[in-house]
Amino acid sequence: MDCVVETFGLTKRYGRETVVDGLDLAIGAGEIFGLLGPNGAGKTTTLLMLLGLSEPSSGRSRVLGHDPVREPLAVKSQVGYMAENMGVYADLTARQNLLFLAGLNGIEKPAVDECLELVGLASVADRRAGTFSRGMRQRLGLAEVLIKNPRLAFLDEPTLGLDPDGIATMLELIERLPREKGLTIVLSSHLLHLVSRVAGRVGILDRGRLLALGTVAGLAGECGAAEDLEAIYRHFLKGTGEAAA
Amino acid sequence: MRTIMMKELADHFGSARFLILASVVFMVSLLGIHLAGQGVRELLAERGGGSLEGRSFLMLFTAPGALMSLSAFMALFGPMVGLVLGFDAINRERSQGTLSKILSQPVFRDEVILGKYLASLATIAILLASLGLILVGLGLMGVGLVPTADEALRLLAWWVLSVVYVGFWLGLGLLLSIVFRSVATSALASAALWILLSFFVPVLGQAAASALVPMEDPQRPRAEELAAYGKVSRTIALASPPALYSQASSILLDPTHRGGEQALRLSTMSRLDQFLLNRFQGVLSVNQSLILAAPDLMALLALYAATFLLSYLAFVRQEVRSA
Repeated sequence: MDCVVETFGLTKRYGRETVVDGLDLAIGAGEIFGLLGPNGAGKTTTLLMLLGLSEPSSGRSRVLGHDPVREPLAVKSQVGYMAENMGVYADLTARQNLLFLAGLNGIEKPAVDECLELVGLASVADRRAGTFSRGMRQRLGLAEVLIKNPRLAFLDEPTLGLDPDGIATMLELIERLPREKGLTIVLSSHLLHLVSRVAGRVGILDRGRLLALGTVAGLAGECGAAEDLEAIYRHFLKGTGEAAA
Repeated sequence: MRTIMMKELADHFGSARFLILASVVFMVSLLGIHLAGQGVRELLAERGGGSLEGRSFLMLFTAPGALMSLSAFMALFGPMVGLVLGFDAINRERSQGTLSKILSQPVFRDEVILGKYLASLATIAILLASLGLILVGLGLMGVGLVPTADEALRLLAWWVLSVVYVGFWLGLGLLLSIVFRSVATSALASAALWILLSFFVPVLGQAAASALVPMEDPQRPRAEELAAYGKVSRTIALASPPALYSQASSILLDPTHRGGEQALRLSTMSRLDQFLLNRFQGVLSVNQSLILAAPDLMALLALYAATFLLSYLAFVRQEVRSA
């Protein structure tokens, strides 16, 4: 398997609190990988470290063959990141928002229309982003990831706060991208049934530690539960709960 | 960096706050120059043009009028312009959720902060230049005075000084926007710093001077005592950008002004001497005035560099996480 993301004992501490604890991961090209876990499990911190936005306390990682700590720009130019609660410039139109992002990436002729078309915002391209609904804003965020032609995309809680229709549209988009754009996607979420719909493999994270890693079907076999991510998830989380107690 | 700068520049000129700021500054300046113009006209009628040769036009900027002179007005309101443009530069991006987005693009953090800074500085420079030109035009029409080449040079130097001065406050605003995560906190903090540096430091300087240099007879101080007193209060006032700016701008705009030494000399002279000095004092050339203003300008530049350096360091080391 051609690895685009690898981590070796990746650890992040804030003071005495360990947020990510010795994470070992390998994510292959063209995968949709789901990073699962409750709030505060260390999902966002992991993504930030992989982007070079946060420095690991120990351990190391390689993203597309680069070390995010040493070569953050090389990583950032090929990786799209959509933050949880990501914002857009409310005073700019959707098109201007995209053009600004393209400018930051030094892209000469950005495919703005194509990206807006893809996420279904072509008809509102010249409306101010401040007037957008949450779902539209989120899709604009996805377009901002796509405008830089990334090889890898980190989507942090991409469905957070969306209504069922919005969630369906977002997931459909996410599913199409690896096929159409050859993109690898890492998405984090605490909403398991959603992730299980699109993700090939998942990693379950709790209190910074990786509890389980594998395909949804494989994990189901491991714990003897039905092929239902919810049940698998509970099974693994319960394990740590008892260990902690 | 260019991309960020262009966007910020467009944001500034399109924003409601710039419109309000510019209109307030313009209105007050217009009032100021109108009042100063009246004063200058009366003075000219009284004394004839000859005695004020070569500096009558500049008096439009230094004559106190009914309220305050234009240069005093700049010393007071320049900080507002700088702080308003800078106080939420970074923390607004943070609360909007756009900071992590920008930083996850392949740009250095320096470029983000530098782009924002230069855009705001350019805004200030353009605002002050247009303001200055409008005022000069009004002076030409209203009072009928034409600036000499010398005076035009002085005005240009004053413009540079003003941009540096407002730029200092901009840097301070930027620093606050990095240090404080909430926009409201940094707004309050910038107002507090403005008041502190503008009003309290000079007062503090005088208080420290009277404590350090006790005078035997305050009614009739001796020359050495006055010299020491002036030295201490001036040294402490160096920490107050408005004081530095006022001093430098009066030197630049008033060819007869000789900086801090003049005040000292005047205070130790008899009234007749003072009168004679004022009456027959020569006019300094632009060069000489620049040399006199240099220490103040340098101190201002040093403060300016320090605030920018601090905000730069703070920003580069800061965690991205919004939570």
